[in-house]
Amino acid sequence: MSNAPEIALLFSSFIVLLVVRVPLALCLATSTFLSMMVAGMPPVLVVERLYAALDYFPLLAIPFFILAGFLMNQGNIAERFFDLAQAMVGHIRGGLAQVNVLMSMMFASVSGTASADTAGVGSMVIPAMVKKGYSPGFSAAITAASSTMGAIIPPSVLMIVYGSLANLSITALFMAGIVPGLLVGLSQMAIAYRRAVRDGMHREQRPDRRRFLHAARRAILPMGVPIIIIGGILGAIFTPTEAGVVAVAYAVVLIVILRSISLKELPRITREAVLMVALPTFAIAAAVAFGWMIAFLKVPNIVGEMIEGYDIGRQGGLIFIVLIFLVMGCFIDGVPAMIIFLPIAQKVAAVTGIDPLHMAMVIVMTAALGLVTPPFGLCILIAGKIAGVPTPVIVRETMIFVAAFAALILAIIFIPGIVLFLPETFS
Amino acid sequence: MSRHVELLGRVASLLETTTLNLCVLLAVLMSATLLAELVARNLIGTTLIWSAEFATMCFIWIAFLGSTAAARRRDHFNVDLIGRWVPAGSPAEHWLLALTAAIFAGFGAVLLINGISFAETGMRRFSFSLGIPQGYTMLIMPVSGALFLFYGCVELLELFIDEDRENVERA
Amino acid sequence: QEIVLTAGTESNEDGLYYRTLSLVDENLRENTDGKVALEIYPNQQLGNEASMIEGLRSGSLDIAVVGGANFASFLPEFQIFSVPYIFKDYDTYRAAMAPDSSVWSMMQTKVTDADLGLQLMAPSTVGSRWVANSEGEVESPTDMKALELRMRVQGNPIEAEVWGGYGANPVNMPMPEVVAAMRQGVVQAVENAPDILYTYKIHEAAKYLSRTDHSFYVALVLMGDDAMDKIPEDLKPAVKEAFATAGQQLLDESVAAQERAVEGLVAEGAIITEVDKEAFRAPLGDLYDRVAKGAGAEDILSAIQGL
Ligand code: NA
Ligand code: NA
Repeated sequence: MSNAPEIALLFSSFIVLLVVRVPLALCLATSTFLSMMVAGMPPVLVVERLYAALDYFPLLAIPFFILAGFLMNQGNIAERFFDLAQAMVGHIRGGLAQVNVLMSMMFASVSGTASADTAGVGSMVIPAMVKKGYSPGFSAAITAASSTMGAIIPPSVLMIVYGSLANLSITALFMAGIVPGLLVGLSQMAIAYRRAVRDGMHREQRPDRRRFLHAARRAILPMGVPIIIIGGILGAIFTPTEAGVVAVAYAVVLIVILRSISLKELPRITREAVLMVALPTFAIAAAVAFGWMIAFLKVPNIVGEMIEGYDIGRQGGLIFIVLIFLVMGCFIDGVPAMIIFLPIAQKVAAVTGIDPLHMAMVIVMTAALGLVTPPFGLCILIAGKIAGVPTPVIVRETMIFVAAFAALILAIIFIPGIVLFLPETFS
Repeated sequence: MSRHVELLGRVASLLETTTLNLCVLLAVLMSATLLAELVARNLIGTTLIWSAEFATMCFIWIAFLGSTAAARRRDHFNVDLIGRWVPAGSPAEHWLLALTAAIFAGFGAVLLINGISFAETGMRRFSFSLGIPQGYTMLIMPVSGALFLFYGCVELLELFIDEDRENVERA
Repeated sequence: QEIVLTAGTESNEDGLYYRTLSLVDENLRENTDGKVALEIYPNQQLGNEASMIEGLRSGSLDIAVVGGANFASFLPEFQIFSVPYIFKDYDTYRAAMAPDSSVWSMMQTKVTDADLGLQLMAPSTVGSRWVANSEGEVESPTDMKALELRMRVQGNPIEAEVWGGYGANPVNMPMPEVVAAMRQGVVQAVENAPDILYTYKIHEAAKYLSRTDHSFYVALVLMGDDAMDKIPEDLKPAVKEAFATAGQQLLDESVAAQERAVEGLVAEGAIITEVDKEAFRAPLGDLYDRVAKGAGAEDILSAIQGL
């Protein structure tokens, strides 16, 4: 293995920098650069790689689906989703926990990231849950767990990045996410119900017709956003990027009509919005450069040869990929983790003959799961901050949701139809 | 000495706000372009052949410019694996912040120096839909390199010289 | 000792670009007694075509197969190959791409003289391009207009002008999105080589294929100057020969590959329409001269016309 020194430097410098708290994107860029230098490559290459990573039109959908979630939160539009969710499922046992999950589902169909979902839903539902007697730990846990739907139910930044890198249709990925996304939500509602029964949570009164209609009417305009996104993509009108643009434009108009942001706040909010876009995008560029270096150094071939010796089959290959991503997801954010290890996963897929769309969904689901696994589960951290609960407590409370989620991933591995059904039906 | 650092700090903050405002403008342009393309295609039955490339250019600029501003604001995500051993406000944390600032500065220098030759080679790459050499778009690399370098250096000065001042005042 | 050159392509192991590189590899090993060989990176592992060209120039990559349209952003003269029906027929195309033809040596000289740090080693192709649509049979531009086709074209003004001129509404969209967009009715037509169309399963959304042959596609096998310097002087002729041979073998094979793709398409329900090529050629009139003048490629144009 002639590349051993470069490979060793690439990974070791990355880990060392990560440990000494250098920002993730900078860790990725720096270790890529160091490894390129040792490999005797020209220094301009790192510049070229970072630039080329973003010079690709389909990625343009990312900012819009980040902005859509951001605007929902900033413009107090999410509040109307909350009221609607409460009117719909608030009376079921474990009412507010159910509301939390349902509201996440609605939010997920607007926002491309899970973290916006955690922040948006959490800031509203966690205080309400605590007031009603739920433990802060459980409230934060169900918030974090249900917000993973943000990355699975379309739109999804994870899917946009995956589709762009693997040359898959983002529309097909979006369709494939709908069923598993709903299953995640349903399983979490079931868990919340069982727990409410166990803890003897009392039932809320069913809302009267008038209150229900009021909540529904107030939610009509905001519901336009998910209708534009999901309806527009499934139903013949937009490409993913266009759906994002239209959704954002619609949300801006909505905010103006509803006067939910004061003009004074506008400069601060818009500046924050572009930061929300720039930060993950820069990390994506750095991760793509790092992943390129992994491919160039032939790490995928090494892994491929390793598993070629064992006849692990498709399911075995997928489980192997899931394990790699689960371990990585514990330490770095889902999107960069996915980008870095995509070349390796593709090699495993080539060796074992896995369907590209099937593999994509398994990886996206696993990356989403990584958002709620310690020590670096972004959604856990955000939910913990909102609830004021130390991470270990939430981690303990999240375990049951993580287990259900992992079971769903296993089910998808063995029953590809769960994810392939919708995209194939639309063919 | 510390007065100069303070001045530099204010220049950095001004630059940061300016770049973010520029990013907002680019985001508006990007959205408007894509909306215009959508209208052109669906209502007028024509295409703005330059729209994809122009919007992509805005996107790249937002990503890199925005991340320089984020460096100044210490907004970049990091993974805290050693929080237990490095309490906030400890000397160790001080050194870790300095290390990150130094790496940002070094990374900025790499982007700046090589970004110039990158943009130069880009002048040989022609964008047919925009009608300009792609080198102009690529100028974002040296520009963001210069900003990373500047912010990194200012942060280092602030971390050390301001600290000296604090020590003097305390003494 | 063995010299291993790194070679990249966007295509997967089944694609013609990948095949080009494996032919080069075979010929290199044979011509140099195994002293020079390729290490091939498929699936845009080393980046897309534009960044692979940058890689060749900076020396991080040795060889790449790139489409003529992408290369044209580095050498605008090559835009001329994107103009539909620039080659009168397949024989003219093959004559132009022959190692000893005036057109080919002019192309090689232009690449060298452009001082990009690149050398043009061999031709490659994805086949000849056809039009696929979801609405009905297209025999002539009149049909395109009548069907009011929204058509995905490559993002450059010439393409937009040509297809717009035929009566289609050109749309700029990434190829992987086209099938989904077609199912949804966002676009109704696309032009590409049958091999590519088959890979993307276009026929499942757009079963009407018109044998327009509007572009015998010119792709290029490029090598960086740094890579060429790695090869000892005495081996260079054998290396160049290997590339030239592989290029011709690939062009021969591409015909069979296209036939296989078409058979596959037909077996899966595609309807092939023969077209009135004159009707497609006629409206282009002065376009050749205009593009050639704009791109400074008058000499290439007259060399092609002189074949
Ligand atoms: Na939630
Ligand atoms: Na989502």
